[in-house]
Amino acid sequence: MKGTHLGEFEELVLLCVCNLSDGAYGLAIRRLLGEEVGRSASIGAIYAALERLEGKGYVTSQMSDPTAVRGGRRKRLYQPTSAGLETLIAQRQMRTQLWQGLGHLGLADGGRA
Amino acid sequence: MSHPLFTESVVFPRLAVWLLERYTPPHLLEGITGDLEEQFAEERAEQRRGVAQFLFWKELLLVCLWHRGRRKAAYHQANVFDMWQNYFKIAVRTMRRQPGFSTINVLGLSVGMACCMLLLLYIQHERSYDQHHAHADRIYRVVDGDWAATPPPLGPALHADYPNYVEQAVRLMPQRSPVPVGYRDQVFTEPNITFADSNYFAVFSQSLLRGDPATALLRPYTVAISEQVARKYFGNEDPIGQSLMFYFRAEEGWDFEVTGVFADQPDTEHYPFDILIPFSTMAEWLGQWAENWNWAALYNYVLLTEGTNPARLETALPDFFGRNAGQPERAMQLQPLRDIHLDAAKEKDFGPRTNVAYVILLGIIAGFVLLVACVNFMNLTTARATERAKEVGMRKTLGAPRRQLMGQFLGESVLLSLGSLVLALGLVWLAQPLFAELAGKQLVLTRAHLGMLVAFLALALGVGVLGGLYPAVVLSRFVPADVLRNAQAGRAAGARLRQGLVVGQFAIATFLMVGAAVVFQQLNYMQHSDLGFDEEQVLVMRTGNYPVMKEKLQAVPGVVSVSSSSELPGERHGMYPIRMEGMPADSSVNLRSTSVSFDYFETMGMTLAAGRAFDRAITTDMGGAAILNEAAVEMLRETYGLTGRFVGKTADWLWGDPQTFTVVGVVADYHYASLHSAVEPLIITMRPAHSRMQVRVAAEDFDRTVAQIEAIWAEVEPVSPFAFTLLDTQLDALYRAERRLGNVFTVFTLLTIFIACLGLFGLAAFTASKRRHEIGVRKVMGASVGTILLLLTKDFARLVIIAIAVALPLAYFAAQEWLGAFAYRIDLGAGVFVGAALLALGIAVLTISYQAVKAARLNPVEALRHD
Repeated sequence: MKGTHLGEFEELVLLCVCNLSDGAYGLAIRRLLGEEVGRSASIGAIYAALERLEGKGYVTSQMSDPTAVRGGRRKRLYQPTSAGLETLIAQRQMRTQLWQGLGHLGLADGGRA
Repeated sequence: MSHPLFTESVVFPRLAVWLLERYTPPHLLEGITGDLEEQFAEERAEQRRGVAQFLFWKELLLVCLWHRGRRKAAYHQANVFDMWQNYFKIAVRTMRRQPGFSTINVLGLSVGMACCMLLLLYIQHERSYDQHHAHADRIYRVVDGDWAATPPPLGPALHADYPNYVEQAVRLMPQRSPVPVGYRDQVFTEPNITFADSNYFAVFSQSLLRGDPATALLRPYTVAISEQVARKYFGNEDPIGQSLMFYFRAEEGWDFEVTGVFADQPDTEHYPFDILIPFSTMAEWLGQWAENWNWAALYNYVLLTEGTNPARLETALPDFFGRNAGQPERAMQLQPLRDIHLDAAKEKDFGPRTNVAYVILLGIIAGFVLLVACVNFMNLTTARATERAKEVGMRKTLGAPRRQLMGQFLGESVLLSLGSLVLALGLVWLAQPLFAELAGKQLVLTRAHLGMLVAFLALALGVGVLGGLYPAVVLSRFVPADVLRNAQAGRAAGARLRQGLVVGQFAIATFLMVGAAVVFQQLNYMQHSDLGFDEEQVLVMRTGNYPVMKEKLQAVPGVVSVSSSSELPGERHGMYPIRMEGMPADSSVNLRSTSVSFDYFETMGMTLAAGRAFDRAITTDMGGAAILNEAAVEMLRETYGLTGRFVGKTADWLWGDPQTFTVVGVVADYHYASLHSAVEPLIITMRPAHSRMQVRVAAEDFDRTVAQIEAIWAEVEPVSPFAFTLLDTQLDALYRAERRLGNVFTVFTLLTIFIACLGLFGLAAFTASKRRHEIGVRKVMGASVGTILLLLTKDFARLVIIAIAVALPLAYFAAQEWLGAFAYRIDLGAGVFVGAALLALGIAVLTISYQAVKAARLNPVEALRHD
């Protein structure tokens, strides 16, 4: 089976899901990615990442109530699971730890030198 | 507005829905569809409809790509990928199991494709003449009906009178005889000198490497030379400002200052030159003649202004001639620059031309070769596929859907055809130098041929699909139970089709065989027919000092006779207006003309039909005598009703200074032009010396005689290097196009036959193996080897005979058509056709018999043990 490792793009998508709290669906994630991160990704790519995240148990999804704007179609809304949040935190800690080792380059404080 | 996606928002909403339903996992379908819809609405608010739609479809396709395969995987775990892997494996195994078959199949197709590519390369080369000129679509050559040459004042006057139509006018005037050119102590003979107006570089895209394009051709006695010429004279020195000595007359040279060096011309230029001299120089020499409106002396090119219709200028021309030349009814035409190379050659044209009929013919051959190769491929592929009925039955039993089976056969076939394409490219690359020799053209594969490559890729795919289509459709239709129970099913399948294809192939091969034979016979006929003079053992040279040369050469023991003339047979003879005694006073007739020295008829071995040759003992012959040919006599009799003896009649020369000649003899018709055209009326006048010299030498001690001539040459002609050609070789050049056609025809006919035989060989092997069992039984029952041979051969022989019956009438008509272009031609005998038929049949039977003998001699035990 696939590992539980979190890829770079997956991490970004997961962070977006967390950021958007209640309204995390494909297009919203795409917009956020574009505006905040400057990454343009296709809807297809985002759903592919979401599928993988769901497979790893980092997000769950359910359908919203029908909306008028989208021709009456429902949105698939995503929410982070606790496992997802834990992985995010672990990932960040791991990064910070590695950054501390960069003292000899004068970059130990996350590149503020 | 419940389903905007389905209605007005996108171009193909149904397709979009279908794609999404097919390719996205069902649980995501609604979410994704909604997202796409919302996204589209958003884009639509900001962008134009088209842009929004484009973005929509892009997103949609990306969605489909991302989720491809997932949907199926979500339902059933049937391993499609593994199945395809199996198909591929089987394809490779089938190919390996019958390496002979596979080789024949791939080889045949790749040879065919390679042939076709080479021919197409050649055709494309012929069609690409003058495409390199940036203004090519606006440049026209002014032509006078069938005449390419036009009067000198025409171009400048057109430019002056119609500045709105004519942006620029350029005159080009070739120096028709080679000129010795010297720099310091070295002298080369330069054959390609042209006089050009100063705006040449502005109109034609000929890049000037050194010097100023605006002024390089301005001053008289300056010269622009090609890179190659510059290297020849100056090596690494800077040519600009140096001077070259041009010996336009023997012993008399003019200094020309080099003002420009231009890049060597591409070989797709219709007007070849290495050296350009400003027309102002020529204008100085011509004096009054440069203003002569009746002298078809040079080539006038015009660059029309943007958007000018050439027809408008053409309609203005009669008026123009009335105003400028006093010839109100005169009309001329504008010939597009890019058409010049392939248009029919015109009178007094310049530069090499290609007969467009030959280009078309080569195109047809290319098509034929390809057709035969493709047919072959399809034939062998279908034949082989029928053997796999059992495999199909097994696959179907195990649940293979029909569509997948079709895919399998198509895929295998496409794989083979693509492999052939790769091989064909390799062959083209290998054969390029060979073909260049054959066709007399250097063909280089460049990026410009990319389009052709794409076309061939499409063709390979097409052939692959067609080859695979039959087995794909027919075999996949089989009912597994039938096939598995009885291996006989499917045997007969496709036999009809294959037979038809064999007939087609051999019909084409026979047709080409007849074609090649006819071309060669005609060529042979032209080369060996009596030209009316003896073209062998005649050396041809150019000298500036004929009288001295003749005197000294006549003392050489091996020299039979020496003469000079203004033209040689094979060269263009100019046309001049003449009025014969007895014609109405204001009438004139245009006769071709040449001028010769004493002893010309003797040197050339021509015979006189009446009267006498020019005689140096009769003083009036010098400048006052003329000789007609028989064709002229006949024409004058028929058209102008002249009667009586022509010897003694006078002829008024109406061109330039008026002169009157007395006819002293009639020469038997000789072919002074190529055998494509009939002998035209000719008037021969007399002048004591010309630059073209003919020396008839005895056959024995040829080399020693030439050495002696060379020694005399060095003495009399200190400037020009010694060079001669043989008259018969020079005449051969007239039929170069036919010879090349013949060569190309032969090679490609051989290849076509080869390919057709490959196919037949494969089919024969196939049939023999199918009937192994039958042959075994027959032999056990007492059939002889001969009977079995006949049994196997007669089926194919019948097909070949049908093919021959189809091909021969077609070949007959095509040959008649081609021969129609020649004034002197062979009669089509039955020999060629019978020969070609027997050859086709013989080759076919020989091809089959190898397989037949093999099958017939097999020990029946071997054949029958299999059951």
